[in-house]
Amino acid sequence: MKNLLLTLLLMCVLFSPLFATGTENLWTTGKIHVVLGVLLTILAGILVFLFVLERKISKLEKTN
Amino acid sequence: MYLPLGPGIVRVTPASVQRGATISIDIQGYNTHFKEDDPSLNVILKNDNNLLCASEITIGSSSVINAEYGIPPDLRTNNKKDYYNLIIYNEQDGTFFLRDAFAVERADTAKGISMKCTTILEMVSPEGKNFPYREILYESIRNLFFHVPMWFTMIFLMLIAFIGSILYLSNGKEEYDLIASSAAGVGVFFGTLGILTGMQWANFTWGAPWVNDPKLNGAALGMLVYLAYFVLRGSLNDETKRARVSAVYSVFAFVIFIVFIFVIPRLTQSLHPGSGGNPGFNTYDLDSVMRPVFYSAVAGFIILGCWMLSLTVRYRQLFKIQSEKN
Repeated sequence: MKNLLLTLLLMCVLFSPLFATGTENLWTTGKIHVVLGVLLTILAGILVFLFVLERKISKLEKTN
Repeated sequence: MYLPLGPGIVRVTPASVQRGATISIDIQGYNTHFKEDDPSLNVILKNDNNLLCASEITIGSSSVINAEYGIPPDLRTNNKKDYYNLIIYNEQDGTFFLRDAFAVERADTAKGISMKCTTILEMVSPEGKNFPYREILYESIRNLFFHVPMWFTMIFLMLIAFIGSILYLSNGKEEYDLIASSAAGVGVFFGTLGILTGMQWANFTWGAPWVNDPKLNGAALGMLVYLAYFVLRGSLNDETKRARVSAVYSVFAFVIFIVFIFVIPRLTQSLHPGSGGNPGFNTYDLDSVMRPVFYSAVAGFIILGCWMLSLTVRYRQLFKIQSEKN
């Protein structure tokens, strides 16, 4: 849980320049949302992998 | 990550005029730094035969300018319609241009003033570090650091599966089968991410999430080959038999996979860069500013992939020990 919060905080810091003032061009013409979407897809994929592994390991622990 | 794109020209309105007329065109720039009273600013229209200088330039903002041209009636051409490249230079942004930005049509009766000039422009790079500005791609050029390493990682993991299978066939140790099948699993995971990110990118740049591109179809077929590998594994119950048969399959699957994603797309035309020839990363494909970022991204994702592989292998080893105990 602590790690998750830390990751979210880090992401806010990382993405903050995207929402700074004077970046209208970045969103309208520049289409930065494509990059953001790709990044979130990869992050989601890695998270799914981790959660699945975590559940498998807990199952293994229970049978112990 | 925060490096801006280099300056570029987004659009020009209007896009055509008749010969002999005086026309005022609006130019929308991207990441440009137009300034009032900038003596270095130069806005010209140029093609192989003619070069036209603006008679008046008005600055709207740092990214909008308006330029006025008197198009001479006696242009050196016999074409009905001529395309001109719009070239802009200023000290901070260097030289940048929009190919075939503006068209001049022939109207034989028109008369106008001649405003030909003989400015010679050299290509000057903008100040500071920038990622290249490309029409259609714009900021999504940064996806190169995320989409492409997915495939590099997948190929690396499939190579591990290939080597693991060969080692298993040569000495029959069970760990090698475990490593090979886990590597194929994590490889398929990265391939899926590669396809998903590619679809998002293609939807914006090529207009549809799936276009009939040889590289896309090759990658999809390669994925199917590896999915069949897992179907094969699932269908055999005897452990040694499963390991042997799937190891043989995996060796052939890797060869087919390489043919699908590397050889076939290279024989035909593709929307991906570097197709129909040698796709080595030359200066045209990969900018010198992007290159170090790209290679570190590839290295990072490959290390991540190896770590995920080691986690999977360790879990499965524990699982095996556990089930043998019970």
